[in-house]
Amino acid sequence: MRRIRTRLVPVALACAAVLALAPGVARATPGPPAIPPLPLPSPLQPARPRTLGVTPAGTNVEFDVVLRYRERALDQFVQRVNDPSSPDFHHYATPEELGQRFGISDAGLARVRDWLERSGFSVVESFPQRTSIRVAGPARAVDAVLGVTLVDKFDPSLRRTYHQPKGTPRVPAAVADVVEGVSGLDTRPVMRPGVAPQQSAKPCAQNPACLPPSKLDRAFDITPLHDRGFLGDGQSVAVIMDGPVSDDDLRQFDETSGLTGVPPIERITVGSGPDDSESSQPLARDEATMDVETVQGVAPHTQVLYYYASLGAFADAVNKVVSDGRAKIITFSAGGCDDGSSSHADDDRALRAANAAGVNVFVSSGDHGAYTCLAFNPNDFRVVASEPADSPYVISVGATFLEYAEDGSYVDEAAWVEPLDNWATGGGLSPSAARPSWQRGPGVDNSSSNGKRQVPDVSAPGDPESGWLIVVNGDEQRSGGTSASSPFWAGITSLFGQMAQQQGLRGLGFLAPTLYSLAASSSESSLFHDVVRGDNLLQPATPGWDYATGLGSPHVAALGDAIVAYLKSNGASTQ
Amino acid sequence: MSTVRLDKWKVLLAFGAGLAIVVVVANVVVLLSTPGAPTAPCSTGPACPPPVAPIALGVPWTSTELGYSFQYDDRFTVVSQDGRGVRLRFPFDQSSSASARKVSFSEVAVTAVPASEGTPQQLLDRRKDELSQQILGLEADDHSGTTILGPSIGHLDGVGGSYVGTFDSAQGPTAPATVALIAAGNERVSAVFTYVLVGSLDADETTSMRETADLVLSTFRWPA
Repeated sequence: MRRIRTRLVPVALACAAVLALAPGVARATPGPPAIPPLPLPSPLQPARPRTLGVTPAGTNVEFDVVLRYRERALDQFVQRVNDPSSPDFHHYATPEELGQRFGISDAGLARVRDWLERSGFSVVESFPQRTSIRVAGPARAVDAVLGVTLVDKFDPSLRRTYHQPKGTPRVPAAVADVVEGVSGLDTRPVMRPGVAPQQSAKPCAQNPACLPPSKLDRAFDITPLHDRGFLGDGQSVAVIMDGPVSDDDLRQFDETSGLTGVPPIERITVGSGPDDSESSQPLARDEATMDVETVQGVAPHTQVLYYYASLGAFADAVNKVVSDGRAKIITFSAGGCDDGSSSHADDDRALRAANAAGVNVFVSSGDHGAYTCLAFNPNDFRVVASEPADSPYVISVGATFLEYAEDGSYVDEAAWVEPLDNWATGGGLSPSAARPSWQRGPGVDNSSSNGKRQVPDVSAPGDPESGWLIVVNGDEQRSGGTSASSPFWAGITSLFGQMAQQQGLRGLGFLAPTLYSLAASSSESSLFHDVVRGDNLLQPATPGWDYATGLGSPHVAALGDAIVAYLKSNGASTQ
Repeated sequence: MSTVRLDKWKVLLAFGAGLAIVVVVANVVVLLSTPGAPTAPCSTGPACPPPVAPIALGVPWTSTELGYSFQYDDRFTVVSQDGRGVRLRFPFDQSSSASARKVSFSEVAVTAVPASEGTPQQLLDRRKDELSQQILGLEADDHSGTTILGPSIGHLDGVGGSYVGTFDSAQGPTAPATVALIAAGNERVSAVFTYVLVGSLDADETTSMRETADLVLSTFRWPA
């Protein structure tokens, strides 16, 4: 009897539902008037981190010692090398030159090293640009030397342990003139990959909505560049992420996508790399794999250098890419909620130095529209941009919803927005960084402008509904987010780099000023698809620059030719 | 008499047949000679259909009366439809997961009226009234991440909100219900989108379910 009743319940519910949801159909007998709602479980409430106790004294701890820098002089240098009217235009510095000109002296550096050694720390990574030093040592040394107590915590929602210092780290007076501070003692995950989950249960093989590289090439006029032999030869792109990437997945992606001549990726670990609890996060593998495959799909002959790093060691990863000197393009598809409450001194320093070295850093602009903090707390509705995407030293990449024809040709595009679940292209204003002088043009000055950095700069497809084909764990999946659009831009920039080199240019330099200048001075529609539909959950896509899609998505071949012509006509340095 | 009557029928039939032929021929001539319907000067914008048909991301549905269209995930099934709207149901596989077994049903409905018959806000209010007859204590849901921050349909800004209540079945109030309503309109049509989940899902499945329903909003095309 009990079983029968149980079986009948869904049937009765369904019948009632038909009545309830049919517009205009009223119930004959209305229900009781004032029944309070049954409590909904609240799966969206973030679980609070638990304190596990004082970090055991012998625990090995990695962190950054941030060195003093001639910030103002570096800023002036960055201005000059990015200004076409300056005689220093595109005369970027090597990492060694940066260290010599703006870093502490050799004697100062020796003093820091001596202090670290005497304190029980070892140097894990150091960089010729002298921005910071990554060091490791036992927790007891951290506590004793820096005057803090490290405490271990556990985040149940991420199933990750981390440590935080109690108290503010103090730099001993003996080295205070050469050490600005320390960073990275708090390993709480404040950045997350932005990969948007797969939308459909249907595999890509049966799903025409999976966007393979060949269709993407057609939609954005990449094919003409490939036909002209620009496939990324001689170029390198650095992908920074914290998840494992499988060679088998990459091979399968190449085969599925018909890519040939793809060089195997090179893996470079930053410091001791992410710990197991970080690298085993499900999104870490998806994100890392999508980033690599997206670059290779657009620029198959580009050498991908995979910098395997904890997201908390982003600054070290950027420093390492710059000091290695092999890649002039970085893509990073993760971000944090930049509410202005925390200092990113080491990130800022590393990015500024990268800019001064002529390195393009593409960063995804976030996947929750104007409300970045939602990625960390679903009840946090503050209007906040994503960092480091809102740095003036990076190119921030938003996402669009692409409609394309059966043959891949471009049909239409809107800002990526999913109103029902608050996923959308990220965009907004930095709480701290001033708007760079090069960020100007139609749409840039608007009613929300307040003198701060505005993002995103550009965009590319990222709505998982028209999602990208990726292969992860042997499965063909559909994925997206601004996580996809950032490596897309890194990939096409490597094609531009090859074009520039063929024309005798030394390199592209930091592209953002060039992109804004081209967009303002030319018929924008010939270089960018100006996206005018959709929004970032708050601000709409409009003609010209906007907070949802920036300047828009590229007509790749035309944009590449325009960039090279612009650089040549403005006297960019040649080989 | 009977012969005469038969002849009269023959004449009448011949006349009718002739008349039918004339009418058919006239209609064909009129159809062939009528110029095509004037096309609105449309370049880009929410009201403009794409110049080339994009690939279908889901199952297409078009309002025969009002001319708007959208696509939906092919796992949904049509419960009912007319010229102005459609109701779709997501068939939860009751054996798929522990979470899914706590769901009674999930529905998406899109209904619309000519703009002269109601503003988006009026449509939303009406829809909420209709739902509150079966979802008891329907009230704004202001405590969770299901809040509608940027209500829009087909990339056209609108109004919207999230609501919670208790679903009232024949057995009485049985299950929690979450509702999202979004309404928007252009100069021709006002439309309201309804999402209802009766029961509860875990966080991941809640997100997945809402993303699935989001396809309707992303692909919605307003009539020019």
